[in-house]
Amino acid sequence: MPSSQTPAKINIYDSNVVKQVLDDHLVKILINEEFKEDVQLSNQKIILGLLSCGLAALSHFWPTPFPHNKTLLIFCVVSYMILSAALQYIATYKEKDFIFLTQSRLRYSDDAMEVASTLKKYGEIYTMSLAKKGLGTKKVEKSVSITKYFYSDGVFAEDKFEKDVKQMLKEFLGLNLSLIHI
Amino acid sequence: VSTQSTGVKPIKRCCFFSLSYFFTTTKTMDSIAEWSDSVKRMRPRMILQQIINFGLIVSTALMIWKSLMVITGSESPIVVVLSGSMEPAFYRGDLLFLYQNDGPIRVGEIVVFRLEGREIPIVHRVLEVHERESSIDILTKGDNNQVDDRGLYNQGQEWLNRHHVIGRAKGFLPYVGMVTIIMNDYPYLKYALIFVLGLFVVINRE
Repeated sequence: MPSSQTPAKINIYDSNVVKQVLDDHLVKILINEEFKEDVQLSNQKIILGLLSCGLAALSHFWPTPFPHNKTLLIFCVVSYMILSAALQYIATYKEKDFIFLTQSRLRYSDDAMEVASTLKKYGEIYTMSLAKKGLGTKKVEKSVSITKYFYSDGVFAEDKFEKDVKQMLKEFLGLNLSLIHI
Repeated sequence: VSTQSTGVKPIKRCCFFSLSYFFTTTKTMDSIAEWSDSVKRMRPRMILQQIINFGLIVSTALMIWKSLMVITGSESPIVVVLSGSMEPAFYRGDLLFLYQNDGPIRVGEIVVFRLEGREIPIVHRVLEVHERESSIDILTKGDNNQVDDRGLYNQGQEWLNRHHVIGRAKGFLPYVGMVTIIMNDYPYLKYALIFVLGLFVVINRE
């Protein structure tokens, strides 16, 4: 069923748009399955970003003229470098290729997951994975050629994509059950 | 005045036509449609993150400038030579690297000074220095000028003091500053450049 948000046609030769469309739809399906976003990491990034911009504004708009505000400038520059390094660290090591982090659906259901996806530039294979939060080893992965999800004129085959995602989700939840049994 | 206006108008018309051509070609209309689709698909949190990313780019540039100010000690660490008064040492459009410290100012040094009430600093060479117990009097002159700078100084001012000097020249890069001069003479170019750059940053979701 075509939704109002998915574009009828996209340019299938633009890897960025293809990945965006698939990622956005993947997240949409998960949200429909009652998964809520875990905003902790995103909040950390937003707060660090706002702090950095605040430091820059502070260093620029503080009323003291130049030679006298040197200590303030040194403080701002050094703190900005530290915050930038922290943001870089988060982007490289904590975020990796995640597109969505979820909370557990119910307090005891323990199905919080890290959703990641990769698509090489001009590549054909789209790899999506659902990994158990924190335990990256327990994950379900699916690599599919993007030609399966897009018609040659650029129309997005939502139903095919949805079927694959739902099957992957079932596998992931099945993983959880087997863990509980052990 | 008449030469100035004939110089600016053709540039303004040229900018207008090139920008409208740029926006009416179908490729750009497609990109705009694609961009609005991609933004519609973004969750509000992601849009906030994009805005913050834009702010971070601006902040990084600002911070690099501030750190240069701290390292060199000068409030304007990089300046562009605007006039030909220092030829053949510096030509109009050269980029100048400045530094500042409390050391003695000597005759022959190239200094950049800002007079009270004037926004644009001037880069000239020190001609005379008179050191007193707690202050110094400086007289400057441009290499390519016939007379010293007393005519340039404010009414009743005969000497420069240390607080007028915002930096001394350490090194230079020829021609690189021409971009700034062109953008200052033709502000439409500056606004167009900023607009296009801002557009690229916001459009690119990555």
